[in-house]
Amino acid sequence: MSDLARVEGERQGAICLVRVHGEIDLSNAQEVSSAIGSAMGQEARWLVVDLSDITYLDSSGVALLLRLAERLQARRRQLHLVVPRGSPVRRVLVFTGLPRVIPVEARLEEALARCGPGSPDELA
Amino acid sequence: MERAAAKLEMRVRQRTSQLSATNLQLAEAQQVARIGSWEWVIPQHRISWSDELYRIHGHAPQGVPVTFETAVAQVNPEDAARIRSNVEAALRRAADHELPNIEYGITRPDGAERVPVGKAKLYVGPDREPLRMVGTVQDVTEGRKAEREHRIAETLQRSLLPDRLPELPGLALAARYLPAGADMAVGGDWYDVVELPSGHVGLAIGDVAGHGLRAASTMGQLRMALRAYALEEPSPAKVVSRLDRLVSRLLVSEIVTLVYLVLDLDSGTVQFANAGHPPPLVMGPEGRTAYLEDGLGSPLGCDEPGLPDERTFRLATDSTLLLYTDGLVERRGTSLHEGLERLGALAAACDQDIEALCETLLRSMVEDETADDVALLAIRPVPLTGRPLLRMPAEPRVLAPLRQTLRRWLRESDADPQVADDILLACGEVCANVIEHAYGAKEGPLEISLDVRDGTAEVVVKDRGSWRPSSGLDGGHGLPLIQELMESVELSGGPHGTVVRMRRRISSGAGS
Repeated sequence: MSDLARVEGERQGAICLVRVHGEIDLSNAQEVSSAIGSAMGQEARWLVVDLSDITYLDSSGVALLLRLAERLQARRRQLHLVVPRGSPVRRVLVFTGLPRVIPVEARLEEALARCGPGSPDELA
Repeated sequence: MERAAAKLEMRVRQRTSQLSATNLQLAEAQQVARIGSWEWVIPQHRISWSDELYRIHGHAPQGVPVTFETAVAQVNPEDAARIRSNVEAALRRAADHELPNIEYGITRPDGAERVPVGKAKLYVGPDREPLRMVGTVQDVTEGRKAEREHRIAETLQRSLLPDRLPELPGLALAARYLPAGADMAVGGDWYDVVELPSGHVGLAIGDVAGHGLRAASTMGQLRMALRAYALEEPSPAKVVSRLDRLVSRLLVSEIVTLVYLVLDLDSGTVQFANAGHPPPLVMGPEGRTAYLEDGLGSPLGCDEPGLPDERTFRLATDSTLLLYTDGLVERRGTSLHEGLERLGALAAACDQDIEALCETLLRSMVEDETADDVALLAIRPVPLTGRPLLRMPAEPRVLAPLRQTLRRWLRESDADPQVADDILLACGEVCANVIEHAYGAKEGPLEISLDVRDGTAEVVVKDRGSWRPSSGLDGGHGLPLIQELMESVELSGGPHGTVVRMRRRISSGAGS
C-alpha cells in the first residue's frame, strides 16, 4: 500500500475497529477499501471505521464507504464512522448526505457504545 | 689472401658481437615497451620480425618462418583488408613515405585476442623501385581495454543517473555530475529526485566506494532499491535502514554513504537520515548557511552499528538545500573541514539562481583534474506567485501532489483555512472527474490555472477530452458537491475539451 493512506485494524470482541490515516482519493480508494476488508475478517459483527486522522477524502472515498456499508448490510453487519467535529472530512460527508445512510459519531467512544448486542439484526 | 680473409672474418665477428649487444638492448627495450619491429626487403620477398613482434603474435621468438601472408592470416579479416590496401597504395605511390597508422585486431594461436597499432615507412630506390618497408607494432590491448571499460562505466553511470529532473510547481531543482578526470576512474556517485505518492518529494545523494564498472553498477542497483523503498515507506530512517540491510546482505563488501530526505513542499518540512555522508548545506536567502550535522549514522554495509537518526528541519521558501558528494569538498593537501568551510563561505556569497549556483560551486571548488567524481543537487522552494499554471497527465497519481501545490498556493494567498479545504475538495473533484472520464482508456493532459483577484480565487480546470454532458459531474455527487463548495461554477466545452471555471472568496474577513 502506498504511503498516501495507512489502515490499522484491531479486534475488540465482536467489534472490529479500523483506523485510517492520511488521504483518500481516486488513486487509492480501491486499495483502502481492500485493506479495510482484510482488516475486518469474517467474524466481527460491527465495523467501526475511525476517520479522525484522515486529512482529505473526496467523492471516491464517500463511494467506498457507501459500498462498504452495503456489503456489510448484506451480511447483517453494521458500519459506524468516527469523524470529529471540525474535520475537513465532515463537510464532504454532510454535503453528500452520507450520514443519512451510515451512522457518524464525533468520538470513538460514542461509536463503540452504539455497537450494542443485536443492533445489526434489528437493522436488517 | 688467407690473412685477408681471416682479418675480414674477425671484423665480421667483432661487428656481429657489437651488433648483438645493441640488438640485445633493443630487444629488451622492445619487450618493456611492448613494441615489436619488422623489416620487409621487397625485391627478395624477405620479411624479418623482432623477438617482441613474435611475442605479440603469440609465437616463440624466431619460432616460425614469417611471410606477409602468414602474418596477415592472424589479423581480423576486415583489418587485414585495410592493411593490404594500405600496403598496395604505398607501393603504387612509389616514393619514400610513412604509411597511415593502423590499429587492428589479431588472434594468437592460443585464441587470445590482442590489439596492436602498426606504423610503417616505405623506402624506394633511385628508379623509384620499392626497396624496403620497415615498421613498428605496439601492443595497446591493455590500454584499449581500460579505455573501453572506462567508457562503458561512464556511459553506464550517466544512464543510471536521472536523465532529467521532475518539474514540480514551486520547486527549483538543479543537478550536476562530473566524472573523475585524472586517473580515468569512474566513481559511484549518484543522486535522485523521487515524486512520492503522498505528493512529498524524496531527495537522495550517495557515494559507492570504489571505481569502475562495479561501483557504477552497485550505484544503479542502490538507486532503484531506494526508489522502490521510498514509494512504500514514508520515513527516511526506515528507507535507509532497509537499504543498509540490502547492502550488507546482497552487495557485500561495498561501503556506501547516503543521505535521504523527504521534503513536504506544503509546509517546507524536511525529514532526513544521513548514513555517513557529508552534511547537507542549507543557505538562507540572506546568505546565512548551516550544515545539517545532526543524527549522523555510520555508512551502509560497514557492519558497524549506528543507523542514522531521523531529523527534521524547515526549509523556508527561497532557501536552498545543497546535497553533494565528497569530491566537491575534498582536495589533495587540505582537510575535509577546510573544504566544508570553503564551500560554506562560497555558498554564503552566492546570490544566484540555482543553475548558476551549481556552476559557480563546481568552478570554484573543483580542480581541473579531479581525483574523484562529483555529484551535486540543489533544491530551492520558490513562491507560487503570479498565476501558476499546472500541467500534468490526467492520471490518478497526480492528485496528491496537486493537492500539495494547491494547499501551498492557498496558504501563500492568505486563504481562510476552511475555505482552502473547500477549494481543495472542489478542485480535486473536478480533476478526478477528468481523470476518470475525459480520455477513456487513452492518455491525455490535465491543466489547472490558479488566480486570485480582489480576494477571490479562480480555479480553471481544462482537459482536451471528449465533451461530456454536464461534464459528467452530475453522475454521482460531483456537481452538486462542487456547487456547494464554490460560489460560482461554469462549465463550457465542445469537441476539443471541457473547461470548468470555479470561483470563491478566500478571506472570511472580506465577507463572502
